[in-house]
Parts: sequence; structure tokens; C-alpha cells
Amino acid sequence: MFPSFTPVSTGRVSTEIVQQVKTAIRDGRLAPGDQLPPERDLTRQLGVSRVSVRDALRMLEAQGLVEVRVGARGGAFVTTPAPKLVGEGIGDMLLHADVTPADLTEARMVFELGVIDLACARATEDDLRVLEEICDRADALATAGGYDPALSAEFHAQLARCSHNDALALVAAALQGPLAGSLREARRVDPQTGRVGPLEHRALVETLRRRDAAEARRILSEHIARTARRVGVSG
Amino acid sequence: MPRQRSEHELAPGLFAPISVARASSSIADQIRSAIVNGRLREGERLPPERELAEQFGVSRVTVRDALRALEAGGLVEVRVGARGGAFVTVPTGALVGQTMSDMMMMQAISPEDIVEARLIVELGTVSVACVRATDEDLARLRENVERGAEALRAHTYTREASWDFHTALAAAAHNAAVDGLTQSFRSTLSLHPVRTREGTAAHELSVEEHTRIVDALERRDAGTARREMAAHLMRGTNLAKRESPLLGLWSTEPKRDGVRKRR
Repeated sequence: MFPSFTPVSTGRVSTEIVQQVKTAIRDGRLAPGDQLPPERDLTRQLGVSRVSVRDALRMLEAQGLVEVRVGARGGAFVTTPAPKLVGEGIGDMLLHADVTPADLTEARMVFELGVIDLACARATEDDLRVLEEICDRADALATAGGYDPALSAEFHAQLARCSHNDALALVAAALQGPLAGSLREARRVDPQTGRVGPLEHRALVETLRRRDAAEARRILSEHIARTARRVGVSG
Repeated sequence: MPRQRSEHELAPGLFAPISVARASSSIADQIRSAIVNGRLREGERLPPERELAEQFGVSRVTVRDALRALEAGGLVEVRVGARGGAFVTVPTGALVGQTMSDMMMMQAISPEDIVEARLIVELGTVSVACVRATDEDLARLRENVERGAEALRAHTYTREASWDFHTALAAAAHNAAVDGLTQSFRSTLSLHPVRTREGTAAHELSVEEHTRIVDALERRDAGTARREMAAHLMRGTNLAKRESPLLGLWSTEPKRDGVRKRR
């Protein structure tokens, strides 16, 4: 039986509808996969306009709590927000013009040097193979005289995934785009960017395999500090 | 005072007409990238729905949908009334945290993972703040813990007051990216499995711990500040039961290579 909602009166109507649906999810009265009543029914049940209901559904959809499917078997279904959504949110925040490459690189020190110990303790052989495969691609590119900041950024996101912590993995995924951007900036400042880094990636994989956290920290902190100097995290 | 661009300024070339099926997502993406690139600035008002609809070559309903999606993502704020419209806002970590806490609520992410991630971010933040906090920052933090102590006596202390401390601390790091990451965890706190039931005794401990962190910051003692922060965040959690290599790390004083004062 679908939970009944109470008519709304104050504030912005659509925001209130969103709150009611969220409360129903929190209380377990709605679960992922459940279908919400048709717009028409919701409109009647809540005593609001169809525009307000539509607005509310769109907000819930944007928050990843509802998926609107079209077609004969369509409707609004409750879903679990995808990690991607959090990643996009953090990404939007970090890509914003107010965040400088120096800010971002310093934030990486905070974040990645914290994550490396977990990665070292928890990385599986499968994780390491994925890291190596990224190194192989970077090597192939280097042989052809190229360097791709996006590939470096991918390595660092995968490194965080070795922590087997979903929250860290999604923060790392969010950092990936802005990180590639800061590496492009580093390369603009210093065209040597991309020569030593990939070798250190390879060395990091080996220290992870040996579970040598101290050495991994040393390599990683030197690795990020080089970018930091280039983008102006100065003394 | 919000700025508004004239139609002429915004019109040519900023947005392109839409052809794909999910038109509203495409519109939201175009506006999003104009905001993150800085072509649209905080406080600016977007053109009215009618004009946007013409510019994108879609219906007003589709434009509305896109604006709602952007609003949920914290990139615009829709204000009603005579001086209303859609205004560009800077996305805050608090909104990101809302999604993170929604995920936690629906068990797509474990509270332990959140606490561990928050530990990493906050321990880094406190290290940077220890180097970079200005006298004003330290005064603000000191004032926060003093107000906290008063609120305890008056029985008006709330979780929000506690969070204000962490916000002030993040500000003292003087790094917009670090600040954003810290704020991302804000709304996950209300769902903390243990602390949702916490009472006065736990609040008292919080204020005591905050005070010790401020004491350490004033002495620029990063090692102590980190240890106090770790103890503070882990109290009441079941993280100690988890085999976390971080636990060993925090008992010593880790080297923080490369994090140096900027000015």
C-alpha cells in the first residue's frame, strides 16, 4: 500500500513535496523500486498544482532519489542515488573558478596521503593489475612521445579505489577531472611534466604489492609535491 | 545586489540549440559548464524562462526541468516574486553531503566508510589549518568553543553548533578545495548511527575535545591537534573494531611533507 501524503500549505510547495517523499523513504514506507502514484493522483492527494508535482519529481530525479521512465510501463520510481551523483557534485564544486590548481593540489596531499595507507593495507592483486594496466597505457603513449594528464588522473582515482572504501572512491572519482586540469596547468608551467610521474606510478604499484606503506607515502608525497611546486603551492 | 546581464550580452554563442532526446539534461549541462568555466558568475541572473526557451529552441517546460535539476545540484537558486528569477550560486559541499547522506540512508554506502573518509579529510584539514590559521581564525575558533560551553550550561547546544566548529576549522585552512571536501560530509552527521542518540554527556565531550584542538592550534602543535581530532571523530563510532591501518598511523606523528604555508 502506498503511503498517503498530507496536503501541503506553507513554504515552497515543491520543496515540501520533496521532503515528504524523503521522509517516507527514511521511514521505510518507500523503498527503491517502488513506483510513485501518477502525477494526477499525487496532485489530488497533496492538494497542489500539477506544476508543483512535476517540479518536485524533477528535483527528486536530480537528487538521484527518483527515476522517471517514459513509455507504457513508465512512471516515477524510487531509486538509490548513484555514487556518480556525489562525484558530480563534488566535481562541480572543485571545478569552480574559485578553486585554483594550487588549492586542488594541496587538497590532494591531504586526501591522497591519507588514503595511501589504506590502499597499501587493502589492495588486492586485481586492484594492482588495473593500476599496472593504466601504467602500460601511459608507457605506450610515452614511447610514441606523448603524455595524457587524464591517464595520470585515472591512476590516482584507481589508487584510491584500492582502499575499498566507497566514500573515498567517490571523492577520488570527483577529484579525477579537476586533477587532470591541474596537471594540464603544471605542464603549461613546466613542459617536463609527465616524464618522471609515470615512472613513480610504476614504483608505487610495486610498493603497494610489498605493502610497504612508509615507502609508498614517501614516493607519493614527493610525486604530488612536484605538481604542487609547479602550480604554485609555494613556501 | 545581483547583477543581470542584458539580453544582448548573453545572447550570441553562449548556449547552443538542442537536438537530443533528453533536452533538459543537455540544457542543464550547458548552463553547468558556463558556471564552472566562470562565464556565468555567482549572483548573476539567468535570462527569463521564455528567453531561454527561445535560445535553446525548446519548450518552457523543458527549461523549467533543467533549472530544477541545476537547483538540486546547487548551481542556481530560483527565487520567486517580483525580483525573482534563476540566480547563479556556487555549489556548496553541504549539498553534496545531502546526496551522500541519502546514499547512507538507503544503505548504498556504509557509515563506517563515511567516518573513515571524514577522518582522512579532517586530519588533513587540521594539519593545514595548524600552519595557516591567522589570529582572526584562532579567535573565531576560541569564540566558538566558548559559546559552545555557554550553550551547554543553557542546555541549548545542538549538533549544528558542533558542526560550526568544523566549518570554522576548514575556513582556517584557507583552501577552497579542502573547505569543499570538509563540507561534503555535513549532512551525513545527522544519520550517524551512534550519535543520533547522543545526549548532553556526548555534547560535553565534544566541546571539551574541540577546546583541546583549539589549544593545540594556538600552540601550532599539529601532532597533538591531529591526535585530538582523531579521538574526537572516532568517539562513539565502531571504527576501532575495524582493522584500519589508519589507527596505527594516528597514534604517531606522521610527516606532512609538502604542505607548506602559502603566505
